[in-house]
Amino acid sequence: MSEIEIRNLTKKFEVKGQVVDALRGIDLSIEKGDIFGIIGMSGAGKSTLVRSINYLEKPTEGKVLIDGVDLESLTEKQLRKKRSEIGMIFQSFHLLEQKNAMDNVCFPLEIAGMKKKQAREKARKLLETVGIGDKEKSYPSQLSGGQKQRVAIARALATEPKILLCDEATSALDPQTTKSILGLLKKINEKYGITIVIITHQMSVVSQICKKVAIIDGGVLVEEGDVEEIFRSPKSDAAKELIFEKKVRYIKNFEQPEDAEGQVKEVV
Amino acid sequence: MFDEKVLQMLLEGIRDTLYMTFFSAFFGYVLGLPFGIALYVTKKDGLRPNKVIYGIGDFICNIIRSVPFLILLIVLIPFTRLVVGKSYGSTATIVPLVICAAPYIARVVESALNEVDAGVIEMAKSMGASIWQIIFKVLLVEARVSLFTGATITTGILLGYSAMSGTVGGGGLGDIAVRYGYYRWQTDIMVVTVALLIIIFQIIQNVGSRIALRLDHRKR
Repeated sequence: MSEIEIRNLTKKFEVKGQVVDALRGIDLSIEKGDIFGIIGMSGAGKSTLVRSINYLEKPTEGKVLIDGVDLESLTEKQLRKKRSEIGMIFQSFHLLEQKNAMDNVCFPLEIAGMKKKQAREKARKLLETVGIGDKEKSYPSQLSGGQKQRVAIARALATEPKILLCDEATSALDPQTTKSILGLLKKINEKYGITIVIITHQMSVVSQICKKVAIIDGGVLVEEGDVEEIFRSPKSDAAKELIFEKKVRYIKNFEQPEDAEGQVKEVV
Repeated sequence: MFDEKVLQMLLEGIRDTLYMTFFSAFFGYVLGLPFGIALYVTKKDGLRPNKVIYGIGDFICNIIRSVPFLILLIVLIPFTRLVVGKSYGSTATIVPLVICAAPYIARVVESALNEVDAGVIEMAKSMGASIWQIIFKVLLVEARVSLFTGATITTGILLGYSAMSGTVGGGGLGDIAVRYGYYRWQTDIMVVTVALLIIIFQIIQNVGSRIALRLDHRKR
C-alpha cells in the first residue's frame, strides 16, 4: 500500500451553471519518502489535485487514501486530525501577518492544543532547522520571500507530518531563492523521511529535486514516471512542451528583463 | 463667563455623554460582534454557508438600520422600560442606542472579516483548524486593525446619536445644547456644548487611529 493513493479521482465545478471538469479519472500512487512532482500548465488542475490530497477539495468521484485510510470515511473531527498530519506550504506563503515568525510556527501547535511553553521551544528548534533562528521576533512584513517560505516550512513541519504538500511553493521566488528552498526541502526529506508532493509549472523545479513526476494536462494525467526517463524521452505533448518550454524560457529571461518580474534583490 | 451652576451642568453633561457613548458601544459590540461573525460564517462561500440564517440576519440588519433613530427610540420605549425600569435618562438611552448600533456593528465586523485573505483561512484549514479556531485564532487576529478602526468609527457615530437622544430626555451634552441653545436662545452655552462634543470626538478618533496603527504589524 502506497502512502498516498489517488483512485479514479474526478472533480467537477459548476461555473455559471456550466459544469467544468477540473480533473478526470486521475490514478496516482505516491510512495513513502518520495519527492513527487506534479507538473502542468496553469489551469491544468494541479492545485485542485493537491487540495484533494488533504480534502480541502472533496472529489466528485473517486477516492483518496492516506496510509490506506479512505478520507471519505472520516468524520469531520477525524479529517481535521488527519489534516494536521499533512503539512502544506503555498505560493504566497499565507503567513499570519499580525504574528511574528515564532507565533506563526506555534500556530498549528496551538491548534493541536500544545502548551505554549512547549510549543515555543519546538518552534525555536524548527526555525533553526530552516535556517532563520535569528528571525523569531520578525513579522512577515520584515522578511524576504525566501525567509517567509522558510517560516511557512517550519510551520508546516511543526506537527511532525508524514506528508508535506507544496503548492507552487517556489513560484513567487527568484531562481536563487528557489534553489535554496528546494535544497531545504531535500534536506527535510532526508532528515525526517517526509513524503513531499510538489506542485509546479516549472520543469526546472522537478529536475532539481523530484525523483518521480506526473504530468497533468487538461485535468487528465498524461504521463508518469521517473524524472530522468521523462526528461530523456518525453512521450506526451504536454511533457515535450514543458521540457522544451523550459529552454525557451531560459533564453527569454536573458532577453526580456520584464520576464524577470518579481525577482527583486532578494537575499536569503 | 459661566457661573458655577452652568459649569456643574456642563461637567455632568460630559459625564453623561461619555457614559452613554462608551456603554452603548460596549453593549453594541456584545451583540454586534457575534452577529457580524455569524453573518460572515453563514454567507455564500463562508465557513458554513447557510442561506436561511444569513438571509434572516441580513434582513434584520437592514430593517433596523433603515428605521430612523428617533422613531426607533420611541418605538422601543416599552422595551427600554422593561430592561432598565424607566424610559428617560442616560441609562435608558443606552438601550435604543445599543439596538441601533448592533446591526451597524455587525456590518462593520462582517466587512472587516471579509478583508482577511482567503489563503490564510485555507492554510488554517489545512492545519486541521476547526471553525472556532479559525474565528478566534485567525479571523479576529488578522482583522484586528480593521475591527479596531471600525470600533472607532462606531463610537464616533454613537457620540452623535447620544447627542440626538438628548432631545427626548436622554441627558448629556446634546440635551444641554438643545434645551439652552435652542429653546432658551442661550447661544454661548450651545456653542460651548458643541465645542465640547467636537473635542470629545477628536480625542476618540485620534486615540483610536493611534492604537490601530500600533496594532498593525503589516507595514513597517
